[in-house]
Amino acid sequence: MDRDQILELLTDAAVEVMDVDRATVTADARFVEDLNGDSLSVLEILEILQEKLDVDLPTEAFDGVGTVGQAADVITGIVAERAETTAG
Amino acid sequence: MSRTRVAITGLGVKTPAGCDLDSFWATLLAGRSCAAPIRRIDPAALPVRFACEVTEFDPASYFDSKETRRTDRVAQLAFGAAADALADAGELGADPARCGVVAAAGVGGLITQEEQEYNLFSRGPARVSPMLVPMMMPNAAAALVGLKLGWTGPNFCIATACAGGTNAIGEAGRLIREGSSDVVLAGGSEACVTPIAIAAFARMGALSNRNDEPTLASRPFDIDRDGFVMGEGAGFVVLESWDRAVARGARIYGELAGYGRNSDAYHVTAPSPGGAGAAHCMRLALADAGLEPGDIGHINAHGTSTDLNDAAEAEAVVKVFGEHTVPLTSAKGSIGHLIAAAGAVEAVASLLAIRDGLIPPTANHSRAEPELAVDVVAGEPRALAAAPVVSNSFGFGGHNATLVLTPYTG
Repeated sequence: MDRDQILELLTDAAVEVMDVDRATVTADARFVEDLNGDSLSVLEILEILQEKLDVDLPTEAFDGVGTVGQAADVITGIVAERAETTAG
Repeated sequence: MSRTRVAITGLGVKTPAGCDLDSFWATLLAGRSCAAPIRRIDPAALPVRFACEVTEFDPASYFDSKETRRTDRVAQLAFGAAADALADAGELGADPARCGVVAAAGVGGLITQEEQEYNLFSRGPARVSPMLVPMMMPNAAAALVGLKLGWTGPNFCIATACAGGTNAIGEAGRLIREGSSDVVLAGGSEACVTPIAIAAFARMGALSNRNDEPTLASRPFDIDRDGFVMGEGAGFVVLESWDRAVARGARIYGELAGYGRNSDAYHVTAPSPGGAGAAHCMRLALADAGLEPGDIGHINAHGTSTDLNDAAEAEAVVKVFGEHTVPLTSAKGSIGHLIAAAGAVEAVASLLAIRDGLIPPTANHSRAEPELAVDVVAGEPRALAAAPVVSNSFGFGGHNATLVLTPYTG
């Protein structure tokens, strides 16, 4: 699972949770300011991604995350870390 | 100084008998049972595999997808009924700071809670939804109604189990009487057709076991009753001060003339012997309304179809009103037991009985128990002359609540 694929899943989830036009969900888009989100929206999106990826996404790991791209970076890191752990 | 009178000017229901007043009322008048095999979940492993479910409710009629995701069914049903009641009341023109919400809940967002407990035990704490708390809390329905309407007046949840809906309407009337609100939406909702709730009520022996004939299972005051049938749904009413209702030319379904509430302080689930607590509650409500037992034209009974409730309630009614006097009905024969929503939905039924001068029959009441000396309306509707109606609800915990609703006489 690379970053592009995760970005795609994030975009799906953002559209579902925040009821926004898909085209607005760019990597630079900010969840709250640009995407009709609120303090709970990111948590809801992470919940969807946890299911899709079957990986735990701890809330603390997303402190300071404001944009879709930043979330993709964190998730990509967590997924890669788990892949290493599993392989090792 | 005379006290502020309370008018009821809007009604809304989401019930197993339909999600609008007409279909709900037609089903009650027909004495038709809505019990059926459980659809929302696979009931195969459960000891009781039938219930009265709400089959016609579409959240999309009231919520966008974001709101739907963030709310449990119990809050969705509540808002649906509340919004319908509000629409039924017409243009209120009220100050939002003077508008309140009182909503009863039995178990809160149990569907969501069970799903998330499954996640916790099967996959660990990291898989518990961050939305669980606002979806399961018992006050979620009250909060949602206030939030969606922008009403900033008093807003709270009543949790008195099966008495909740009646307590909510009664306490709402108090808010208007004391002058802290001009308009209150009050009612109750429940959505606990879930594995844990069915298993738990069945383990208590509270539910009917008639898996082979669900439509015959809820039979209030009948000699062959064997327990209640789990229901779900919501009922809400709009209450407002009498003077403002009259001034704006509102259609007034009736007056909330009396309210009684007390506690058995006897046993956590069993009613007090001889229905003593319930009898006292009815007397409190009559006194609050300034009426005598002989003034009452009809009783909308709690009538759960359990052995204990129906026997104690019948004894209580006889204590207050005498043997075979006031005609009594139980909606639970048709729609099952809606727990915290029951009293609210039954208040709606009581007001429709006043409107149409008709008492609906008690579904499945075919053989009266000789020891229960009450006049149960059965078979077909019975005419009701313009007269006050008593509506009873009793909850686990020993909570009793009674409303007295009177016809509009100008």
